[in-house]
Amino acid sequence: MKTHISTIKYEELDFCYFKDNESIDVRAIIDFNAVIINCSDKVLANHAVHKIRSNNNEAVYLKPIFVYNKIDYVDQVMNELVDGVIYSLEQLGNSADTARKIILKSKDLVEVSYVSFETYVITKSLRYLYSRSKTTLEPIPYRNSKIGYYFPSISTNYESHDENKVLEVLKLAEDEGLIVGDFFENIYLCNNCFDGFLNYREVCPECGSSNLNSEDLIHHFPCAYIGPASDFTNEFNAYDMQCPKCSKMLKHIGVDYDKPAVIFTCHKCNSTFQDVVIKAKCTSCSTDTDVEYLAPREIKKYQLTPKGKYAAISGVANTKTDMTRMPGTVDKVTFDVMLQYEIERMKVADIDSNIAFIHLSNSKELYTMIGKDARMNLLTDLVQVTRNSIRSSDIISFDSSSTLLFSINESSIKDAEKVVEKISKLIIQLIKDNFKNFEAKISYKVHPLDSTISYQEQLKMLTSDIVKE
Amino acid sequence: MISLSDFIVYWEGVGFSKFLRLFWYYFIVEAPRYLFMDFIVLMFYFVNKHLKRKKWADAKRRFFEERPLVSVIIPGKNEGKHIYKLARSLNEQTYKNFELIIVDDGSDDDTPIICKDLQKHGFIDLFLRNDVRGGKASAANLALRYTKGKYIIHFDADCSFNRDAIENVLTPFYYNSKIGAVGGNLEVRNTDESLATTLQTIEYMKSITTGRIVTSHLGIYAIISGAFGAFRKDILDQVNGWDIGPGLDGDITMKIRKKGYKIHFEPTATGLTSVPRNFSILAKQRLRWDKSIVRFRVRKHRDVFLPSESFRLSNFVSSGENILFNVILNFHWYLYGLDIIFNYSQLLMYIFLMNQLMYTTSNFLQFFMALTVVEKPKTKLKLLPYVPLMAIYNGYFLRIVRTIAHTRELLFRSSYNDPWNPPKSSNQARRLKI
Repeated sequence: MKTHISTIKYEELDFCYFKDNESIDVRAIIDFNAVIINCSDKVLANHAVHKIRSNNNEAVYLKPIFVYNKIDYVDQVMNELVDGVIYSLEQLGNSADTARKIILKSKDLVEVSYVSFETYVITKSLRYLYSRSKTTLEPIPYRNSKIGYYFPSISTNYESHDENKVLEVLKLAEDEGLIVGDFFENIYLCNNCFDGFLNYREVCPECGSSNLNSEDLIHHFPCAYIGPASDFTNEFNAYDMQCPKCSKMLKHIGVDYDKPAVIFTCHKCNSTFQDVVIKAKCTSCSTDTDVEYLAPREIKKYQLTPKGKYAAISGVANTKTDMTRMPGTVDKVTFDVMLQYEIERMKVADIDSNIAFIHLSNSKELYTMIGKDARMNLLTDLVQVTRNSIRSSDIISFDSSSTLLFSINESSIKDAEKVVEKISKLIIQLIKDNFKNFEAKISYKVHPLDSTISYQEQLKMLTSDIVKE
Repeated sequence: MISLSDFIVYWEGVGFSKFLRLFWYYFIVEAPRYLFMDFIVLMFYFVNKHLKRKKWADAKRRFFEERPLVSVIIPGKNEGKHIYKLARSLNEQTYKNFELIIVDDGSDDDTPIICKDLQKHGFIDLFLRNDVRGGKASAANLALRYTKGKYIIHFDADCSFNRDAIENVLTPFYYNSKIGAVGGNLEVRNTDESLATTLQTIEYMKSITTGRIVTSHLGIYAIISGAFGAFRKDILDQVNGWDIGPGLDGDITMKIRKKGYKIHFEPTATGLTSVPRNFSILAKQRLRWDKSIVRFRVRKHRDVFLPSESFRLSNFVSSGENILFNVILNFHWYLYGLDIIFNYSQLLMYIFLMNQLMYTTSNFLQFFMALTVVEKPKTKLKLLPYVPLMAIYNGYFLRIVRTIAHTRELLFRSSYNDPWNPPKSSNQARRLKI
């Protein structure tokens, strides 16, 4: 299908106008003030909105979006992810007002780097809410969500198969006091793939088959015979019941017979039982689990706290679970202080020192794939490998979970570049060894420290070259 | 008050004919049946056991070669607290190829929770529950309906069993193919709990272990205890399982006898059971047991006394012996008592003391005979001081309870009001005169 991108100018605002596009080019919208999506197909419109909202670039994901709704495809999730619905371009005035408010509020947001993917997602969601003047984060029952509930500003950052991690991120934010949760619903997820769409069935406790037959047990009082209803069938009249032991006809329930229980027979293994097992079969991975072993999760409705509102503007520096306590590294604040001292030392001693970064540009993909625990293990290994390749006087810090910062002191730029290049190769090899079929995309840069320029300026120059995917 | 010397002088001079006149009941009825016959039959039993030991070993070998699936069924109400101990005792059995089926007959305690948990952990193969109580017969029949074994073993939940109990109770089926059912031996677990349990221990030694060896040897063994009995599945199917109780264990034994099969008692297959710990609970238990003799032997199975195509002498004698000694002579004992009171009122104390002396001597002899067949006889010697009390326990306490039970059942058919069965079943049984 041909892609149509055009511009609609309304007063001082430039609206990027997408029409029936298959693959929206998100980079193209950075320079626009807002976006209007006009897709005749609901799936395409959804795809376009999610693509924008899931983008890592703040200039993209915070962009005001309006959908041109010719057909009824704006569901509750879509409604949360867009800033308005227009039915004719003549209504652009209202949309322009909304866009202006969002743009204005977005200007409050301080640029910040992120220590971890979770921190990034939390900040992103907080900023989205702030820019839209919203204070609540509500779960929306959503059949297209893997866990059955969608938190639009958070869930959109995860691929469908990783959506259960949304709940982990929300817990992290709650633990940090950025949001406060209120019980909404308990859900149970597949304990293998954490999918919420489960097929609950009564199954045989012996073989797990759901091919069961249930019958009343009938107790005939006069002769004390008791057996399933099928034992009492009368070959001459299907409606009569005849006792197989004493051949008497059953007359009146409660008087000469009763039905004290129910019994099941499995057509597959022929076993008999009274208590069926309830199992949940995952519609995604087909794992069949006893309901008691399903993974329980609590869905909450969240409210932004004052700390959360502040964090929306200033950015969430880190969370308790981040890598600030990673052995062999110093936190970013300490790194900055030590860099300052290094510059001061350079002023009084004739030494060359360097700063550098190594950036894993496809970290989001990797971290999403391996999960939180494995990510922490990987980062620990990564630090260890790095630490073994540098001198003890050199300093390492995380700029984000995908970017390592180095202060390589008393070393020529050439030696420093060799060290960083070696570390980059080791990291690529490490990731390759641990996660087959994943190729790490690494970029790095070494920058000689200049004693005449502030450390902030030099760090900014260094990190401006980080290429984010 | 008479002195010992007066007592000896009196009985030295009384003469043989008068002595026999005064104690004919003992010499004609009780001593021949429970002392001399037991002694003679036990002699035969030991000789036979020695001579047939190779045949027994061969039967056991064939049993283990065939290794049939056995279904152990345990019907009961509110028995959950016993099931774990029982399941563990079964888990220790030398014979392993059995399925354990528990039927909970409408328990209102934690039995379902306990049993479901045991089933989940593999101690029970099948747990079935009637939400509404139907009575023990219906619970046993429900278990029977879902058994898969060639042999059925019926246990009571409050029993536990020697490790070789299943092996020994099933071997007789391979010893003699005409055997349709085998009764297991029961000893008392809570001997030392009270005087009542101690006296019942001595009673069980005499009437169950010894008594059933004797009746089994004579071919008139009448009751396979519900606490421990083994049956051929095909025969249980032929007789359509259990009928309404109380006394359903004696009833099913007679039904199998009527089909022409032998009933065997196996003393080496031993289980332990808890008996009532006080005399009032014991009296209630025995009232129920004794009523069933009238209901089933005198009424339901009176046809064994009538000449017909299916008439068998062993069934005639088996039921006849039971009715004669338990019912008829029990009532006759009162006539004997009246005879003594009216005709020898001056000598009552002499006669009473001599009576006690003879019965106590008899009880000691029976006790020593029982020691030859019970397990761990040395440990049973501690019961010796209690043997003299058995004359009162058997001669008065149990006799009075038995008389009340028989009278009530004969005159008022009181077993139909027994809460042991739910009223819905009893009403139908009464209406249909079952």
